[in-house]
Amino acid sequence: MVIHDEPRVRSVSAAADRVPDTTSIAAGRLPHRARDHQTIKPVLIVDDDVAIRQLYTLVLTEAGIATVAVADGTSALAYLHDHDVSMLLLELSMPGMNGTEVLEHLNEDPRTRGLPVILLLTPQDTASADTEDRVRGLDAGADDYLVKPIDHAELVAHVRAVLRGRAGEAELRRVVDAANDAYIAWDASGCIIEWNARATETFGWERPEAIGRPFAQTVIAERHRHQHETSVRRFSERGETPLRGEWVELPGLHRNGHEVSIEMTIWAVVSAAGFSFHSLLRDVSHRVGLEAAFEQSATHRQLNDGSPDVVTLSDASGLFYVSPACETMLGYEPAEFLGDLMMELLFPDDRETVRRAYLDALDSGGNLFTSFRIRAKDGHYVWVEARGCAVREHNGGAGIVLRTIWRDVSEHVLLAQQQERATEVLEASNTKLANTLDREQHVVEQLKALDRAKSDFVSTVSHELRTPLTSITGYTEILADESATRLDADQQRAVAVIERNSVRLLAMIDDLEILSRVESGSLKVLPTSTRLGQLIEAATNAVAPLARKQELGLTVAIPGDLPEVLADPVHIDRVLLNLLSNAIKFTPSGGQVEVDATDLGGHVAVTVRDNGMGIPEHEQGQLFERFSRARAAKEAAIQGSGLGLFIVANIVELHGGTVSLGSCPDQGTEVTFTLPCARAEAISAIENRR
Amino acid sequence: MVKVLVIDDDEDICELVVFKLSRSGFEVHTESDGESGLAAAADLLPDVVLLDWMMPKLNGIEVCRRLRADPRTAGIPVILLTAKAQEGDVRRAFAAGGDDYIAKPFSPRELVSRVEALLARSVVRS
Repeated sequence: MVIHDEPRVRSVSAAADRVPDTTSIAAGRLPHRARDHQTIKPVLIVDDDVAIRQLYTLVLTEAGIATVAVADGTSALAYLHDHDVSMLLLELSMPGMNGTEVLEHLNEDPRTRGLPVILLLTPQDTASADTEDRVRGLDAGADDYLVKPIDHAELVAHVRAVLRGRAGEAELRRVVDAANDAYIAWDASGCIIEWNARATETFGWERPEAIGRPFAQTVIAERHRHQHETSVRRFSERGETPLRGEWVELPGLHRNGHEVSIEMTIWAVVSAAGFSFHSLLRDVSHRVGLEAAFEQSATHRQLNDGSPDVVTLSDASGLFYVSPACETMLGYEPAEFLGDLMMELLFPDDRETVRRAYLDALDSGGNLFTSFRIRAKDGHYVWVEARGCAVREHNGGAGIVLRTIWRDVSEHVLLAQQQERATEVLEASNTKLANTLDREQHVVEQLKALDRAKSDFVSTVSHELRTPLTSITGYTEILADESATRLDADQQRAVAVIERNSVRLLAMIDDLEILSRVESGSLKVLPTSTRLGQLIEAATNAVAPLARKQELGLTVAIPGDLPEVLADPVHIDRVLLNLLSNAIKFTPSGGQVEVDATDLGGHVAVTVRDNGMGIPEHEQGQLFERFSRARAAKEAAIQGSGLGLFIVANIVELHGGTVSLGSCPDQGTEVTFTLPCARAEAISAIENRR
Repeated sequence: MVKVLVIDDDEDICELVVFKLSRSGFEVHTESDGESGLAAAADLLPDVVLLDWMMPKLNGIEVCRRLRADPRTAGIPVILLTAKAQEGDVRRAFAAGGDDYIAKPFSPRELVSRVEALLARSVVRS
């Protein structure tokens, strides 16, 4: 290790005047460790005594500490103007600018304000009234002091202690520089005293440029500056915490003059030197840009004009914008809803799904589609369908912003659930219905088959009845004809009863047969030109004995010029017999039964009229149904199958005629049927020609 | 004496017809089924055949057709006795070669007059 030769140092010092006397040689004489670590800044020694300068330089260099030495305060300040140093060893009592004054200058310059200083005192300094100076020096920012003569080991220890502190500071500096957010500190006067790398990135100023600049003018947009300064001043003057540690959004200012949307939080530190303010700032231009663009967009206005949908913006750190509709949908104001609340409110089973959906969309920059249940402020769960798409950040940020629209689909879900239930019910009842229908069709088939079987049975039975009836009526006739003279009166009456009842039995068999033919649709009539008068007289004659027996008057009125009708004589005979026997059955002794026929022009109307018991109006409608019998007929035990009028109506209709019935209880009944005239077609044809 | 052959499976009806026709001066033979009836017709060559329609095995229509098909019996007048009296049935009776039909139950008096009327017609024909 070479010791500086005094003359040379001096000559340099003398020649350069304010130039530090060791700068030119210090590099060459720096210990190798120092050369290897050129970032390590030297200790600046300021002392007017050249011996002291040489001594301390030697001692510190031997301890591996780089040094620079100057002879007075003015030179020190000049050196510091252009160079960084790690600390100062500052002689208090110097000619010209003394140590205290140097300290004051250092404090005035933000770049040097924090520089550690060890004051070097003489015993006189400590003993004399200069104590005041010493105290002032410490007050002015000195970190330590040493009193000469200084033990070499003590000097090295003190310097190392201070440098260690500086090293801790450097470590802290690196941490601060590596921070994700901008860190800026300023003093009570508003001058920036700290500025990290992210601050440079955000605001464009390099650290050395920024240090010392007024904070508000440098990083806060002019339109917001007043508000900021007011709140800071309020804090300084009255101790009111301006920002309560919250993050606030405000317009920042980039060096290039553009506004930058920033989010800032501020805190204050009180030290002996007074207040200092510290802030973390975050560039949120990407959000604000989007929000602003979004809020100006038609979509946004539309959505906020009563749309129940909620629009959200989120990035990797979570939701940062929620549209006002949030309050309608969930009862939370947008501000309340930001942050972590959303996850808490999600239905627990849905949390993972939603988290994954958002993360996936953010990772891939793709679309988002998910649905979830989320608890509204009043406690009920809302079904939300969320559709979103990724939007690149405006301001060149690396992240992605998701714009998501939430729609309350609770009603749809409820409706869908109801529909599902309704569908289930419907399907069940459909199945039931189908089964019922099947069963009914089956029953109908069975009934039809039964009906056919019944018709066949009726047909067969009525048919089979004729053969035994042939023997009965045949022998009865023979008995009446041939044995008449040999039978006494009682026997003749007995034969007459057998004969009469055979006729009735035959009439019933005929009715049953016609019924079965009507039901099977096989009843046919063969209308031929017929003299109705003859048929009426024959029928009347046939029932005359019955009428006589019941002491009824029986009259027939037929005009001589009654035209011939188109009729099947066998069937019309049956019609007349049915109507006449009805009239006789339902008319008490002493009554009257009348038959007349009228030419209606094209049709002939035949009326069978009695003055018997009559039929109440409410029973009249169903009389033409098969097996229908008037109540009074049943109560009076008047014989009948209930087929008479049914058969009459069917036969008349097959002839193209009509049947009508008029009746009054206790006054009588009249039934009228019509038949087409045989020459009706010819007559109508003639009338048409006229 | 005029010979009448009655073919009916109902014994009582056969007896009724025999009773009435024999008292009216006819010689009456009875058979109770179609096949024996055909044999008897060919054997006796009656003046009139009274033929029941509904019989087991060979029914009246078929018997009538075979009588017409056999030259020996082809000219014998046939009256069908039938419980069927509907239009379609009557047509089938005539189509099979029947000369007349009488619906059951019939009046024995009417039967005699029908047989006499038929015989008178066939006498006129022959």
